[in-house]
Amino acid sequence: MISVYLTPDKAQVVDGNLKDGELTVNSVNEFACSALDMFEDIDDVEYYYEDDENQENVLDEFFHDIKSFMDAKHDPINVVLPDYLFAFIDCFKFENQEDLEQQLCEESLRDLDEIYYSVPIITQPAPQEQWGTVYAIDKKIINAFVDAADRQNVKLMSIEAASLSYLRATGKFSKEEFMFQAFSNHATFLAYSSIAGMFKMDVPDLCLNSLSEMEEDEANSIINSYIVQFESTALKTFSYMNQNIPFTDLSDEEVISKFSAFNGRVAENPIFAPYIISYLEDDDHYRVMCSIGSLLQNKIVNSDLYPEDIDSYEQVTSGNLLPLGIQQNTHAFQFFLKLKKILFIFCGILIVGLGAVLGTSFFMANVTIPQSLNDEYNLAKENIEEIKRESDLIILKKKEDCSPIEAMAVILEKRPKELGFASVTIAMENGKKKKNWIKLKAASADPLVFQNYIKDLNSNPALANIGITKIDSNFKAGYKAAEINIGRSENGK
Amino acid sequence: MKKYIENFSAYAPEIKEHKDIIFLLALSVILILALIFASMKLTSSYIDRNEKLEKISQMESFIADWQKKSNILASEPMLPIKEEEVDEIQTNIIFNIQASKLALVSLKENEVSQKGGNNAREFEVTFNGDYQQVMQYLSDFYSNKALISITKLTLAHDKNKIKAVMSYKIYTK
Repeated sequence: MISVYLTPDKAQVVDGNLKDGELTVNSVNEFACSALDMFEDIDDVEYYYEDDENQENVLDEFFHDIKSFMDAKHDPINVVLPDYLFAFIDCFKFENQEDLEQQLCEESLRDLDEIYYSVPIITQPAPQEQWGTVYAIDKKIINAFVDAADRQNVKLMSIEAASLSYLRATGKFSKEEFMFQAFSNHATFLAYSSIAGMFKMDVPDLCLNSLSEMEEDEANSIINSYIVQFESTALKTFSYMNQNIPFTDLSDEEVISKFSAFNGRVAENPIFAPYIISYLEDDDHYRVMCSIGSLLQNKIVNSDLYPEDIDSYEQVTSGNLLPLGIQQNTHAFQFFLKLKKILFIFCGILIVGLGAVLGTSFFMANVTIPQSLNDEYNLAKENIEEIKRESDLIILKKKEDCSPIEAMAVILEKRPKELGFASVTIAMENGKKKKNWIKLKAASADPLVFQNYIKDLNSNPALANIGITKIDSNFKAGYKAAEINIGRSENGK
Repeated sequence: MKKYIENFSAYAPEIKEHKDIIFLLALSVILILALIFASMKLTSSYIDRNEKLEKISQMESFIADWQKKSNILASEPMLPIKEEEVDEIQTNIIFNIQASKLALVSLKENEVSQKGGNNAREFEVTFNGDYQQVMQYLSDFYSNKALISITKLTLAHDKNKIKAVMSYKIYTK
C-alpha cells in the first residue's frame, strides 16, 4: 500500500502493509513536487483537464514519478492533501443527511454540485445530539487527480485530508488538540475535540513567506491575534473546552517554536499508535503521520477494542473524497488483481499437477512385458501340453505296469522247497493291480504246505488279499494242485 | 470464499476490461478438464500397469512351473517315443529275445492298439527258454529308453522249459 502526502513543495511517499490490524511501514521517501501549484487558482483547474491539447500536466508528472516508488505496478495509491486545499472543514450538529447537506451548503457557501464531501467523524456526546465533521473539497481538484491518474494508469484508492490522516496515525481520538499547518503560501489552524469533531481556519497571513517578511514583533503580534480569533471560534464550537491547549506543528518546517506568540504552547511531538510498526525513531514519527494515517482508514478503531483511545460515542471512518464510482472501480481493480494472482497461482498448480499426473501416467504406461519373457512364455506354452501329456503317460505307465520282476521276487522269497509252481500270471486288472496281482498254480504233496506258504506271504506288508481259490488232487501223480490269488496292500507300490 | 463470490458478482460486469482474467479463467477450465482427463488416463494406466505386472508375474510363475516340469521329465529314465520309433523298439525286443537265447514263438499286436489314438501300442509276445534266461530277459526289458510297461505276464512249464506269454505297451507321444 502506498500513501502520498502532497504539500506545495514536496511529496512524501510511505510504503506500508496492513495485516491483522497492524500497519508495518516499509519505507518513507520524499521528492520535490510542485503538483499542487495547479490548484492555486481553482478557476484555472478547468483548463488543465478540459483542454485536449494540454492533457499532460504537473499531476501527470507527479503520478509518473510516484510509479518509481511502487513495488507492485498496480498498487493503488492513497493521496493525502493539505487541509488548506479543502473548501470546507467544520463540525456541526445535524439531524439527518438532508439536514447535513443543507448546513454544508449554507456554511460553505458552495453548491453540492461543485464539491465532494465526506463525514469521517461522527459523535453523539448526548442523546439527540449528533455532530458531524464534514470535509468538503472542490470537485475540480478531485477530478484533476482522477483524470491524471487515469492517464498515467495509476489506481487511486482514496483522497483524504492531512488532519484526518494525522489524527488516525496518533491512534488517540479521545482528546482536544490544536494543530497548525504552515507552508510557503498557505497556513491553517485546526482544532479537534472528541466531543464535536474537527474544524479548520485558514490563516494565509501566517504563511511562511509572509512571516519571513515580517519583523519578529510584528509576526508575533499577528500570530497572537489569529490565535485569539481561533480560540474564540473553538470556544464557540466546543463547549467546556480546556484553556491553553498546546499546538501540534503539522508544517514542513518547525514554525511554532520559533515564535513567542505561541507562549510556549508547543505540544510534544506525537508518536505513532501502537499498531503502527516502523523503523523510524520516535522523534521522527510526527514528520510522517499525515501520510501514514491514510493507510489505516480501513482499520476498525472503536471503544470496545481501544477503550482508552476513543470514546464510545465517537465514530471515525474513512474520509475518502473520491467519487463512489472511482472507489468501486479501484476496489474492482484490486479484486481482479487479487483474482488474477490467485488464478495465476491456481493455473501454476494445475500445470504442475497436470505435469505430475502426465509424468506418472507415462511412467505407468511405460511398463511392458520383456520380449525375452514373452518368447520364453510362448515356448513354454507350446511345450507344456507335451510335457503334461508325457508326464501323464509316465504316471499311466506306473499304474499299468505289473512289475513282474518284483512279483517273482515276492513269490520266490517265501517259497518252500516242497512247493512247485505250474504257472504264474502277473497282471493288471483293468489298470488296477491291487486285488489280483499274481495268480499262482502251485503243486505240493502236502496241502499244509500251501497254508504255510500263504501264512508266510501274509507276513509281507506289501501284500494283501492272499488266498487259495481252489485245491485239486492229482491222484496219479500223488500231489495236490492249488490256485492262489495274491493282491497288493495299500502300502504296496 | 463467500466474500469473493459476492465481490465477483458485484464486479462481474467489469470483467470484460480484464481480458487476462478471462484468459486465466478459460485456461483454468481447460487445465481442470485436462487434469480430469489426465487423471482418468492415469487411472487407466495404473490399472493397465497392474494388469501387466500381474501378467508378468503369471508368466514367470508359468515359466518356472514349466521349467520344473521339464526338469522332472528330463530326469525320468524312460520317456514316450515317437510313433515312428515303435518299429525300432520292436526290433530291439525281438533281437534281445534271440540274444537271451530264448525262442520266439509268436508276436502280435493287440487289436485295440491297432486302431490307434491311445498314445500306446500294445503287443503280446510268446517265447520260451530256461527259467534263468527268461528272468534275465525280463530284467533287461526295461533297459530301453522307451517308456514301456509289462501289463501281463504268464509263466508256465512247457516241456522242461518255461513258456512266457507277455503283454506289453509301448507309449507314444
